[in-house]
Amino acid sequence: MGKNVIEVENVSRCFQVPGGEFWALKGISAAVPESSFVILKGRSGSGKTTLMNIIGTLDKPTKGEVKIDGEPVKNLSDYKREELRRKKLGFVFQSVSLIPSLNAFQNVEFSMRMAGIKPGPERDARIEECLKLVGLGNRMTHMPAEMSGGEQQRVAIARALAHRPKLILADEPTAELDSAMAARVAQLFGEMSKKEGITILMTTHDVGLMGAADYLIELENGERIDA
Amino acid sequence: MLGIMLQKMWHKKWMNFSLLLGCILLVATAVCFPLYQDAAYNRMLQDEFNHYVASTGTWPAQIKMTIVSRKDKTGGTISSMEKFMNTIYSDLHVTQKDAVYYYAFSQNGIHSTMNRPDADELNVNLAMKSSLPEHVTMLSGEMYSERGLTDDGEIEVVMSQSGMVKLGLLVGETVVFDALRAPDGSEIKMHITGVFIEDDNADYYWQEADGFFDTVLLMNDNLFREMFTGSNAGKYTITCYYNAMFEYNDIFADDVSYLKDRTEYYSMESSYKSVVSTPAYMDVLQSYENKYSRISATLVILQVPVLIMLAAFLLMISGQMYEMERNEISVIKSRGSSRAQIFRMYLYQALLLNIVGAGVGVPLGMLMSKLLGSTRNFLVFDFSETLNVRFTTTALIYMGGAILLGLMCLTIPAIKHSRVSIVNLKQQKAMRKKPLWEKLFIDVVLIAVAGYGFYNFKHNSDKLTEAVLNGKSLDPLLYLSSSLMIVGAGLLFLRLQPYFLKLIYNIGKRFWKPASFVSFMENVKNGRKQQLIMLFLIMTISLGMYHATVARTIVENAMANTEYLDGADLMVKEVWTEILTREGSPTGEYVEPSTDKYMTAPFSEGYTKVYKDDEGYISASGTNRIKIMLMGIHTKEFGGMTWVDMDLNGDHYYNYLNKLAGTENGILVSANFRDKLGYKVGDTISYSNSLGKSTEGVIVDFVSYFPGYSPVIRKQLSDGTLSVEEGYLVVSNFEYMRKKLGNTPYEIWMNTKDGTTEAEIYNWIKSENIRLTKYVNKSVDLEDAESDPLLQGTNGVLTLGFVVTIILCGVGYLIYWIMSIRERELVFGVLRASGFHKGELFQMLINEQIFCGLLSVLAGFGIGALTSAMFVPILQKAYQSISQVLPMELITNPADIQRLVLVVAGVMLICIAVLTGMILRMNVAKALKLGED
Repeated sequence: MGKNVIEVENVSRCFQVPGGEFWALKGISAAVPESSFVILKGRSGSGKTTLMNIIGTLDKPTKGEVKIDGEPVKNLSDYKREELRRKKLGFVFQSVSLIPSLNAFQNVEFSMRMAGIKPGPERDARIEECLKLVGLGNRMTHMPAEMSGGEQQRVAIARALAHRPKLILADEPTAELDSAMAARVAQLFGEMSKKEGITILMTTHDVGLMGAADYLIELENGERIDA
Repeated sequence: MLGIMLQKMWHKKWMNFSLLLGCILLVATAVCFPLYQDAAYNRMLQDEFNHYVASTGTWPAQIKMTIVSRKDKTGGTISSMEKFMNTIYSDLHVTQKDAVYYYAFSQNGIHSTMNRPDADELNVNLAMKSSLPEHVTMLSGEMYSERGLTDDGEIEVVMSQSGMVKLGLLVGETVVFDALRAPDGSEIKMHITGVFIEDDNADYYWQEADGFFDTVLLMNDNLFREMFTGSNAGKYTITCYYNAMFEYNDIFADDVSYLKDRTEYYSMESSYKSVVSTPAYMDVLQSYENKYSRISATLVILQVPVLIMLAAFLLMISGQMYEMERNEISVIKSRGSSRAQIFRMYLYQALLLNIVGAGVGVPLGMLMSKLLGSTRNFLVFDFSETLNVRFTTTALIYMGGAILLGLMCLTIPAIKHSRVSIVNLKQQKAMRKKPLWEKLFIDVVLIAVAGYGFYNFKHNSDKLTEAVLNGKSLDPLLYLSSSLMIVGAGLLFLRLQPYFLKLIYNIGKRFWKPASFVSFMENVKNGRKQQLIMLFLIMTISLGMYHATVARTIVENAMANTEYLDGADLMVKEVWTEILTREGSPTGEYVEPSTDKYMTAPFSEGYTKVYKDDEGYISASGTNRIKIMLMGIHTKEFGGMTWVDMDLNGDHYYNYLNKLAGTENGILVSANFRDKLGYKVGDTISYSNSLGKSTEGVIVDFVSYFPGYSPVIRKQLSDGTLSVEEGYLVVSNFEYMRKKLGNTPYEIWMNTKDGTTEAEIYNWIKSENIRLTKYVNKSVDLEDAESDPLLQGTNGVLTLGFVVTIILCGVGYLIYWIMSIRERELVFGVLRASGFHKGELFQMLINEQIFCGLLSVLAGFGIGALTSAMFVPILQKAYQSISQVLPMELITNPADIQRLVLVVAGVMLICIAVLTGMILRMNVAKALKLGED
């Protein structure tokens, strides 16, 4: 067991709402070790997405501290956070999140450009490898509009993993997929975490997928309720 | 449905605000043109009237009539005329100024009751003039009373000052007619109550010639009517003068044709035709109508492109709206709403927007037309002189048209989209196709048509000049050709632009940074969406540039031509007295007036004497007499006062004058002496002045242009065709001419101090008692050239067109980009989540602005320059006056281009600022969530 990629220490997040404050997260602590596939589970409104956003440095906690790959992100400048995101993180979102003007290959290529990976045959080979990994080796030149929702989501996964990030954050990636496809995606995440050594944190409320995960973290009303 | 509509409108408030703005601008512009035209025509009409008043000193808006009501007739003429006078104002639809009645008896002998024998010899006219008391000052005595009779029953009368001198009657004296009797047969006794002088105010009440009242005794008008007209009219012969004066300030352009027709009816057909002769204002109205017909069509043609762009703007915005609402429409449709219901929903929305738009647009349009009225040159305003704008029926019709157009632009896309269900939509989204115009090569077709028009007009430009000089308006095809050229070239650019971008992209394909990569790909895939806004930008810039060049070129060429033909600042020629022989026959010699006064005149900056004879001639060998313009000048003084540009003659102006100065009997002759008659430098020519005296001169050089000289003399023949003649010129030394041809009346050419007004010069001439046969004031001529209604109107409409297009373009551009970013919110969220830096987002925006905006702007300038170079020279022909002799010079004022660049740059900067603000404020998490529902 290596070091922890995610360390969440006593994180709370408060939103100003009409009529007072709403605590979406109440003192969450968690640690996710390297190359593990973790499912963050909970009903909607339980604070899953808020926690994902904070771990993904898209949002800041009101209290507490988050360390990504051992580095505290609390005091990082916006620029440093962006650098962190492009180098060490990958995202998969619930709905279509591909850039519509780029084809599958270019969408994957884009995350590598962002991570500053030099162009060349190696990069192209990696892109193909990732697309083959998600089973889309034959659809590399297709535009997002020409693919089904499941196919698009798989391109998004390939994109999230192409630049070999430390951590992939997947927010309800299976919500729009049928159960067979959802199971495939979960299985894919499980395999990838081992093969590529990438830590994957995925939110879902689909109980059928839990088996694929190494760990489960369960939230309810902003509190962690798993053991 | 109404609720859904309002909710939907609120939800898309920015979109609807843009649409509203479009509707407002559409109505404002549509209304502005007729309002401006109406106001401009009114001003033109008033200018005509004012010009008439200034040049004749008389009131133009009046109908004068004279009748004689004869004794032993029924006397019905007077009552019929009075009836006519009472109804004429309402019948002509004019505002009464003064209705002047003057009734008089012919001269009748009188005697004084004071037993003055000298008074017994006198003959006087007893008369009345309406509203006399208000237009006189009493020198002595009093005005006749309200009743008009003394207590003794004598008629109170007043006489003029000159009458008093002439008649020698006294105030207080009573005179009695020898033969003329009152209706009841009693004596007519007239008691002189006072002496008046005519008030010298400019109300044109007094129009009688000097001495008219010398023998007239004026009595109370009502009393006159009571005693001598009506049932008593048959007993007297009375001469009646009527003058129906009305206010010309209240005559508007759209009253002209009615006023003209009605007046014509009076003088040609009505029962009064024998007494109504054609009034002076008919000439004024005719002159106005000539000018009107020349400019009206031109103004309409010029505004068409702007209206088309307005409609395109609305179509673009509503297209964007439907693009965004496609999902909703298809969902509503899938849930069972009928097409008619959907259509009705959009119709209500369009109605609401258009009605509010009209409410704001009309006052805005009035404001805009006021602004236009202050246009002096392209984008140059002078607010000292504003236009009187009033709402007209034409404007109302335009408003209706604009609303209809607005409704159509906002609802037609709904018809198209209401056919689409959610299923078709998904299918459609997957497809991308070339726009129709690209498939049909509309761009190439437009350029070909414009090119044909260009070719055609270029080769028939003399016909064009002729047509315009004949009072025809600008050929619509000419202006259309230039507009088609701009649209065609703009479309061609849009066709080529993607290839250009692809080329650049491919050059650095693998090395583009993420920001550039995304923006390139965005443009390659979605560039077509931008084509309309790009075309807008191109058209704004190129039309702006073209219009600026048209306006500048026309005005400045007209001015340069005037300056050239006039010569110095002031040219005058005095009346010289010819010396007669003892028998009284002319000697051909004159008394030369002293010219010292021209040196000492307060506004003078020096003068020179110039012989200028338009009727000189030469007798070339083998040819008949050729008419020449003969000039004799003091080279040094003349050169100091006049100027000819070097590129007109090929050499420095002074070099020619120096050559002339260097040879006593030398002459400068026009270039056609060389080109048509075959002379060369050193040849000797014999030339004569208009009196037939001749001498010889040696040609020292040839000039194509010389101050005041027309190389071509255009004349309009009576059949309307244009005759073009060569103009020949001989310039000699002043002293040599004086020696050889005698001292004939010469002109004084003078330079005046800056800021000298015409009134100063006029008063000076008056105070010096100078009698002139020629008076040319360059600054007055320049002002006339600049204030030509056609030029003014053209400048006004072109400026308005430009202002409107720039607003549309700015608003359209901003809306397009806001929509474009709204549409791509999800993408921006993804980019931000993937760690896109703010700088990179900014870079991306800049890139997109360069691809879409900057390239279009550059293309716009290119196309504008090209179109100007092609069409302005032709268009200028259509505006030139018959006296245009200087070669046309294409004038693009760098200041205009700077202004254009400044405005466009401002719009783009605002756009970038707004978009940057939008993107930076965008909450990444929220943007991504947005994609979730």
